[in-house]
Amino acid sequence: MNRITSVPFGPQHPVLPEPLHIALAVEDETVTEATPQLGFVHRGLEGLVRVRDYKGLVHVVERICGICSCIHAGCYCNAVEDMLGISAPPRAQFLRVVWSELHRIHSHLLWLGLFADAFGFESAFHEFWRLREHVLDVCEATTGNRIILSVNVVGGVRRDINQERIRWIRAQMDELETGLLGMEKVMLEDYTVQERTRGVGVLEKEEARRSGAVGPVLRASGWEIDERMNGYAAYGELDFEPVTATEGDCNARCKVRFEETLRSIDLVREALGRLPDSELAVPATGLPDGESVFRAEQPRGELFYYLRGNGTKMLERLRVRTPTFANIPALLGMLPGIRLADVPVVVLSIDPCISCTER
Amino acid sequence: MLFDATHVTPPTLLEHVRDMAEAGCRFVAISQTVLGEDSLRLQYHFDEHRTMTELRRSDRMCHLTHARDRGMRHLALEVPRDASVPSITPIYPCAALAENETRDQFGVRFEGLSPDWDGHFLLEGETVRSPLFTMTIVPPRKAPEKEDRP
Repeated sequence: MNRITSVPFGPQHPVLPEPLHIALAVEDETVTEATPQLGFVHRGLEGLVRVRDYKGLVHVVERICGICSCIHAGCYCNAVEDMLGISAPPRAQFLRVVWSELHRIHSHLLWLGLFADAFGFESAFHEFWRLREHVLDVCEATTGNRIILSVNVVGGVRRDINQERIRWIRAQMDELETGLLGMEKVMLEDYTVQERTRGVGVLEKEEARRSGAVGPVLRASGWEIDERMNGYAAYGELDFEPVTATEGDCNARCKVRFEETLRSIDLVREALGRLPDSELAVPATGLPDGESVFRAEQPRGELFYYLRGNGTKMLERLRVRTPTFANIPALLGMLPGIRLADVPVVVLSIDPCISCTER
Repeated sequence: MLFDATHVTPPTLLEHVRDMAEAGCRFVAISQTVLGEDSLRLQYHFDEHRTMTELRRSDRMCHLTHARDRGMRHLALEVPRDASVPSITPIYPCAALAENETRDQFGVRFEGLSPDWDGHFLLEGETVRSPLFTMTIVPPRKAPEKEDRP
């Protein structure tokens, strides 16, 4: 019998931008067991409901995750609006889609770069991050911020986009799409990339459901499930189709995210082209009472919010379940049986966001 | 989305969860609410796991049903804080992280939980209470009063 070696992966590791520790049991070059340890960036943000009123809490939930702050805020605002019995005006619903999709594009581009870097493809990493700057420029021009947009408020949005700006955004999206299509063959068909990603970290279709996987991890295993299909915000009025793949390996997850980026560009164009005329927000009067849940689709998958109000301006409970938290059991199922050298690629393939996970 | 939960008790919890598994539901989350000094409400949230194709088909047949519940099912369980609750990990192994987090933050003990971090899933070994329970606001330190010198 070969000797079992214990290899720590993280919390400080070149491929991990955030701290996650996985204790790996390795026999020769093969991983036999993986045990995670979280808690390195646990901030207790859910506890802030006791000291911040429900409107001020938007700024807190935006800071749960930098990369998809707008979607956190949108999900929270929708849950509170349900409790107050109000609905954001139509223009605000479309603008929420625009900014959410911009977040999805820049999150996927960031991931594509990091994923390429995980198997040593540094020029692709630089190219994807160069393309990402187009989106960040659009975010900055439309909201004043590059990452944490702070546009959502309970009852609508704080900013508008005028016609001149829409034309400029369309030009930016065209340039981004051209650049992205230029990378398609490299990322999805290149022999070296295929060698490192095809057949690695396979998650079977039924196992994906059993392990509670969400987002691109679930869709890459053949499930046509995406929270946007339930039509929250303005998604019900747009031409939306989930992107799926059937192989369930790292290559399939890469393919799904790449294709989703292109679809998100189309959604931004469509939403901008159909912006209805209306006010940007309705007054949020009253105090939240009762319970509410809301789900939105983050770049990493389904985001879940549970809120409980007691008729005062402070909420009684805020519970956030982020997509990485749901994808960790699936990751732990993928690791046993793979080579030690493939661990960074497989871990990166779920797009882990640990500050989201621990809150 | 406002919602209605099915109320269960510790002895009937696993039976209801098994029904969820047999219906093909996906586990989503556990949310916890402090009801009073000594009692908690745990809510188990599940997704019906309907695909886009199935959703289109059911929307054509009964549009309003799905718009109301958005494909979710919920179980509510009220327990005294010191009581133990049966773990659902034998049915949904992926609930282990959620149950360990609940153990860390609210002190609930789950019988049969595997793997069990024993209250140190998010918290360090020497930490005995969660920031969620013990969050305090540190008052700004007062400037020392100047002593009158003779």
